Amino acid sequence: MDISQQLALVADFKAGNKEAYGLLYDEYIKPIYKFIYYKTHHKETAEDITSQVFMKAYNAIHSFNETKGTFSAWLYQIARNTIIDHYRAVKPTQNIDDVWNLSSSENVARDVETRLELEKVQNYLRVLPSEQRDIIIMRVWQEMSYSEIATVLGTSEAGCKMQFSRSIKKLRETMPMELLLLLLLPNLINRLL
Amino acid sequence: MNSNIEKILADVYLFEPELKTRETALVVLIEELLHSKPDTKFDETFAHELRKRILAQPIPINNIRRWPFSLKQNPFAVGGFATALVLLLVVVMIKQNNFSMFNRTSSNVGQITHLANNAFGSLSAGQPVATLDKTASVVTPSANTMIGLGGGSPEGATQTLSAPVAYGMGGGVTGKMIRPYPYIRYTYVYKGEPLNLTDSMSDVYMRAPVVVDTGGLLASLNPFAVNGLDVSSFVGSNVTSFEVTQNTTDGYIVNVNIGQGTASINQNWQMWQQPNCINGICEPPTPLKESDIPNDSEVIGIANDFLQAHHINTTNFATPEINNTWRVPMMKGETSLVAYIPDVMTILYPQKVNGAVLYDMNGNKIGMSVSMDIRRRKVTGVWNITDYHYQSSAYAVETDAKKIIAIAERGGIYGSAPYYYGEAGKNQTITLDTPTRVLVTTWQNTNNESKEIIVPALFFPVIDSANNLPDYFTKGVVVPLIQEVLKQDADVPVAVPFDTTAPAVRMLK
Repeated sequence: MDISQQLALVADFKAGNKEAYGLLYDEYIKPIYKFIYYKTHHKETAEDITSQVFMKAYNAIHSFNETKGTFSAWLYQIARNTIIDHYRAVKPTQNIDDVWNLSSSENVARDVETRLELEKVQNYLRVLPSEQRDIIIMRVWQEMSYSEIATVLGTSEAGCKMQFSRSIKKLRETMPMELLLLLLLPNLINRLL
Repeated sequence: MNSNIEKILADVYLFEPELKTRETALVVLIEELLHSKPDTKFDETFAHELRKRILAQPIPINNIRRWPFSLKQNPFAVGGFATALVLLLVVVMIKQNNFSMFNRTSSNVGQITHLANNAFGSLSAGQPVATLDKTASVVTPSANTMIGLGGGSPEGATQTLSAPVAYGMGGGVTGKMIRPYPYIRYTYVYKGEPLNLTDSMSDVYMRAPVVVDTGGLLASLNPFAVNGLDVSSFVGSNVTSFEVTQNTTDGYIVNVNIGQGTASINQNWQMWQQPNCINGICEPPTPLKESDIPNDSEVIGIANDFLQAHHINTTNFATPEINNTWRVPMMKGETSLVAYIPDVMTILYPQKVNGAVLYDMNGNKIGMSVSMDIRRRKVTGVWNITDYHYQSSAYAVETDAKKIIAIAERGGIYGSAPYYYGEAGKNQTITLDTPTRVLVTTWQNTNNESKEIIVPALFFPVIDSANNLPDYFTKGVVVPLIQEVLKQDADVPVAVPFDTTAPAVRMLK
């Protein structure tokens, strides 16, 4: 959905057509849910936060200002803030943005399979600042283009690319040598064979 | 290295070129990131429920546009504004010759009007029921039906019988046609998650009646009247449809049915150049090769550009899909030499109503279709362009999951029920996965009038690969959820192909 379609639907909704909001919902429910899941690692929490995001957007659409960004960027911003609010309520004594900031031993709800899937990358992804991690998530897992990411984060495409490159560089430097060797091993064996 | 990793690396090197020396480690790192991508467990039912919950809320008061000033604060401004508004309306009406009278709505996405529960009356009369005609060759008895070959009409008469019935040289059966050969006995097996059907009521949709006043247009047509005929003399008349013909090279003919809220675009054949014709003698075109077929994104891009150029709204449609069924024989191992490569591709824009995709009872998505000439890379037609104006009304939903699964395992309410061809017949098991919530179109028949209704349904996708199902092309089984629609299931016959090995006397039983 391009920006002009988004704006037309927002205008229709503001004029009293609920179905217009329904169409915006259809377009963004999946990507927003996935984004939230990647930052919570827990289905029920992700569903709860997704519900809050779309309810907030529905009730606060009058405060959406198209001169300050796109509707999708606005939704992602609500999602990021709602995730932060959630974890600050769960762990009021810690300054955390999402589940990545918590070590795997922390007592927060996580899906078991996801915890196992992320076991290898958890420790070095969590050292990245939240915005850089979001760029990695959006680019690598959500397969969003840099222009989409830039729209969502309210930054430039070149800025996103630079942040992404730096994050990858940092990850490579942070990755423990033994883990790197472990991961490289099958590759080396293949080459030798 | 896959292209996604290559693309990521290219971007990284743009800002960190020195990392090229560490490429192996980077590839491993990115592969590991891709490999670690967790399954998000996105739940369609959750999305559907949340949508319903949000849209059931009243529109927030701040969303409704307010007057820019209040009467108390500025009474003179209000008077001035009202005068300006009246003047503006007069100017617009004169300028547009009243044509704005038949703008249906100011909204560009359409509307759904919610009515009281059960507002459409009984939904149980599913298929058109004609009076019994002895010459008709298609009947729908309740059990033990035998179907032969030959020519009945798809709109054939129906009859409900309890005794075994035999059919003679007939023809088609609506919907699921039984092939003369080979007769395969399909058995559906559900292997998805347990179903949790909690809603007791759910919305059914029907197209909203189109009420348009095109009376103002009639008088303006008089200058074009034939032999002085005054069309406006037929008091109370409206223009219900019109056709626009583009008499230029590669032109189109546009048909608009205002009354039904539908339109279509076709080639104006006379104006389309034939590529292989010299002095009126045409050579058959060289058959296309698979390599001549453009990639999907190019085809969809051409279709999108055409729709955009003609302001055809696509907001109520799901992501367009290309009909690639011609590729299936190749996927199943037939060589490209014998496979058919079409000259025209069809792109379907699946219709969405209230966020759910529309299907027919055979498990196919339905919506607006665009066809494209592959040789010319040009759109040749658009069909099923429709207005998005519906009424909705809640009806009772079947909540017995076992019953719904049982219907799915029979292939839906209209069959593809298991059928036989003696001992030589082949058995084929089809596996159905966890369903998604969709809408399905069916028909309501009252007072000799058939009306399309759209009811909530579950779509059970077939998960077997195409290679394992050489003669089966349906992507899934659709089961409606509305109790009244399911009632007709009881009257649907188990279709049994005519057993040619049995003695003829059997037919007379």
